[in-house]
Amino acid sequence: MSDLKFDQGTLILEGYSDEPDLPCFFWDDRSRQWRAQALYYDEILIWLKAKRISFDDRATKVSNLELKIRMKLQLRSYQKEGVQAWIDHGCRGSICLPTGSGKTWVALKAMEHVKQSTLVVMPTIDLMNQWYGIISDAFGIEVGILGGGYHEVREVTVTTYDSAYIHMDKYGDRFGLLIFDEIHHLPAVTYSHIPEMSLAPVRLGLTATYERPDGFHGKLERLIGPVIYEKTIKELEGDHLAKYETMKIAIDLTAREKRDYEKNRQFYENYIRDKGIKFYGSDLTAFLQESAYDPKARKAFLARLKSRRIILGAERKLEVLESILKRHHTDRIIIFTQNNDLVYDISKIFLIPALTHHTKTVERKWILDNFRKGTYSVLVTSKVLNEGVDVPNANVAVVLSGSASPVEHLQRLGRILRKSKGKRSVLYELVTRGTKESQISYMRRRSDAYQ
Amino acid sequence: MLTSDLLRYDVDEKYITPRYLKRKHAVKYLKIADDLIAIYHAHHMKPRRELDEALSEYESDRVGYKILRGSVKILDGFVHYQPGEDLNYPEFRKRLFEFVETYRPIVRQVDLIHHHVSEDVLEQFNSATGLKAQNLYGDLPDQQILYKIDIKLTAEDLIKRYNLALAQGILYRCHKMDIKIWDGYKTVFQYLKLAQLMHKTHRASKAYLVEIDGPFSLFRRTQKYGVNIARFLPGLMLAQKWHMNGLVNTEKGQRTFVLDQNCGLTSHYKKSHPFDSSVEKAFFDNFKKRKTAWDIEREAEILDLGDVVLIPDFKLIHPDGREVLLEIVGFWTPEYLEKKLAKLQRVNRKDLIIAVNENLNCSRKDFSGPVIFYKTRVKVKEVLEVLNRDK
Repeated sequence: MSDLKFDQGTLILEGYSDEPDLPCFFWDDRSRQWRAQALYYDEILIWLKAKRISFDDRATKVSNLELKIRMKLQLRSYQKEGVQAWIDHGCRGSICLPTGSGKTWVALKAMEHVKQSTLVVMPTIDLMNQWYGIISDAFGIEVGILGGGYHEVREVTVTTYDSAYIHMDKYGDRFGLLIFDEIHHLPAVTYSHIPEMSLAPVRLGLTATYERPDGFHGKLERLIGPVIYEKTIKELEGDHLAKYETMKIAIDLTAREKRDYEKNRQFYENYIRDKGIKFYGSDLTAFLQESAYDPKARKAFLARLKSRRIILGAERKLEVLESILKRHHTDRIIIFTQNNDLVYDISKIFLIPALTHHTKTVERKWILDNFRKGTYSVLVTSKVLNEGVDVPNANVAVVLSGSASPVEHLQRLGRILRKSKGKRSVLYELVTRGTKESQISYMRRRSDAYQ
Repeated sequence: MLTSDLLRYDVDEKYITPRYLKRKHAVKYLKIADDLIAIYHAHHMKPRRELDEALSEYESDRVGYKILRGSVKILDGFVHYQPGEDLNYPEFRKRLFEFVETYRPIVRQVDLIHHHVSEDVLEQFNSATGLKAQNLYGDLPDQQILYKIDIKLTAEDLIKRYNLALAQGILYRCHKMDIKIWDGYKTVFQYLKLAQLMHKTHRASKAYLVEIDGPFSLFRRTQKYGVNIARFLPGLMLAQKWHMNGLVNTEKGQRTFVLDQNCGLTSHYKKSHPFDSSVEKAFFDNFKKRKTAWDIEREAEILDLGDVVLIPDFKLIHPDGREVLLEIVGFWTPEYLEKKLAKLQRVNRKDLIIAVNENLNCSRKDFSGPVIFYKTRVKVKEVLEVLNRDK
């Protein structure tokens, strides 16, 4: 009789005297045992049964649950198709849907189908809090939280990639189903340990942007399964998502801001030119490293930072924001800005609820619930809401500053793209004129949503 | 602990070496450490933001900001921040924003159509609810007050902690560590166990070689255990004579990080007590006094059982080359005893004498080798009898 055991993210086969003819098993000379990654649990079970090896499964602590969605759920056609495709594929693989298209419902349906202890993993604490709310409400169960100051593991638990990476060797035996939100984060070398150290036989990945510039999404097939369903934003727009228009508003710097900006930008650019540095990739990294030791590089680096700060927080942007708030005072508005200080300034000046990564779980839920219910009509936030948090029924978005990331911008757009009766959505983008920021905005607009 | 952006090190063809704060620049660094500690004290009961501003002003365009920020990070571990007002801030904001909703839009200056500015609305909220806050976001990390400074730390301590943190920071990226220890086995293995690491032990004449990594290291190189290895380092440093080789991933590929007892770093961990109990101490002292050919050494051998080790309390050595181990099983909890017995059964060595407290719930047949039962003390005479019987 052999014993299959879970040991810190790995599986060990005890009392099996031969060499197992399964490539995932390695001889561990330290503990004198056969050891495999927990990822291969399912494969090992199949092998043990096929070989008629009598064994005791002491590895799994997966529990079966009564999971039933309590609310009335009208799944859209593509959501149904997605879940079905996943089930047809043995409950393994990824579904790619645009932000704001209701990936969460797909996940809930998957959980209801599997009915086993489940770990849901996402990139940010903010998303974690949101999933926490949705899952608690949908199934009427106590949901565990791992991360963000919490360490409460239950049969259904939400966590972040960072926390799961740290703790998976302790809890990899507990869950039958793994769900990865924004799965394009997973192929990072460290995060790969999460699916590898878990014995969960079934797995689901969700994202709007599956492919990674580094090509590492190729690794997902082994860890999760292949992409089994995909719809792009263009295929869904108009049909399921509200129409929207974008308004780009150019902002002039004040005379003083302009002087400061020019001065700092000049200093930085001179340095760059003298040194022959290209503005990206390894050159930039080298420059950042140099700035720790070389006084001139350090000054140039600070000048770059100052010039960026000027354009991001331009005084005139507040003026324009004020006029937008006046014009849209009956609408539901979300203001985005990358800079936390600016979020709190706006919150204090216009008395608008603020949501940043400093906001704690309880307050976060209050704010989002109140915004959803309509008790609050305005919300100002930093980039913590960038990925996937769906805040329904906003029809005006104001982007006060941003970086040159197409993914990020697309996801911000997604926030106001939610379908709602006869609603037209507007996105204002406030860009400083004649500065580096216009270029950033250009890069941002290359993304699919604008074409 | 230092984050990777604050690490300072050199990488050559073979080695990675931290840039420690060196003794020859001591005057300069002691001044900086003193300054930083003074800045903290000057901001006692002030908002963290002001402290941060003062620190970044001190930093200004100074080169070597990594040293400053690294030191600040370490200092921050010795202070406590808390909100300035005794107020439930989230609750306050919730009620305020619900209240404000009927006054929107709030503007910065009143005009013919818009006549609500934030000051007025806040006042109306105050008269309606009696609630007031100096700072709407006084609970935010950077708005909190530097409430308690428990820096008994001197400038010199700070530099020591900094240097240690630098070495530990490099170990975060370590995927395997090889150590050699000449003494202090029990302490070192205690910290190894505490750090949840795996080990493979080899005997090397007067010392032991131990290869250290984690379960998953079997499949591929992983830095997953780097944090554990870093946590273990000050434990290793408690040995009198030691050497370590860490294999570390760097931007330039794998490099070796080497340290030994002469590295100048200081451990702040506690050494385990020289004797587990007074029974052991008494036995050791009595044995030393006794005139016998046998010599006694403490914790001189490591028995590697795979996942755990057993380090017997004593090793008894005869000039003719005979060596016998002695383990004293004192009074412990039933769970501990059960584990201990299981461990001893796995050792299964004839040259291991076990002395058991007779109040413990076990009998001679629980052990395969020679056993002595004792009441309050292990008698040297009885041990010598067993030793000479086996001759």
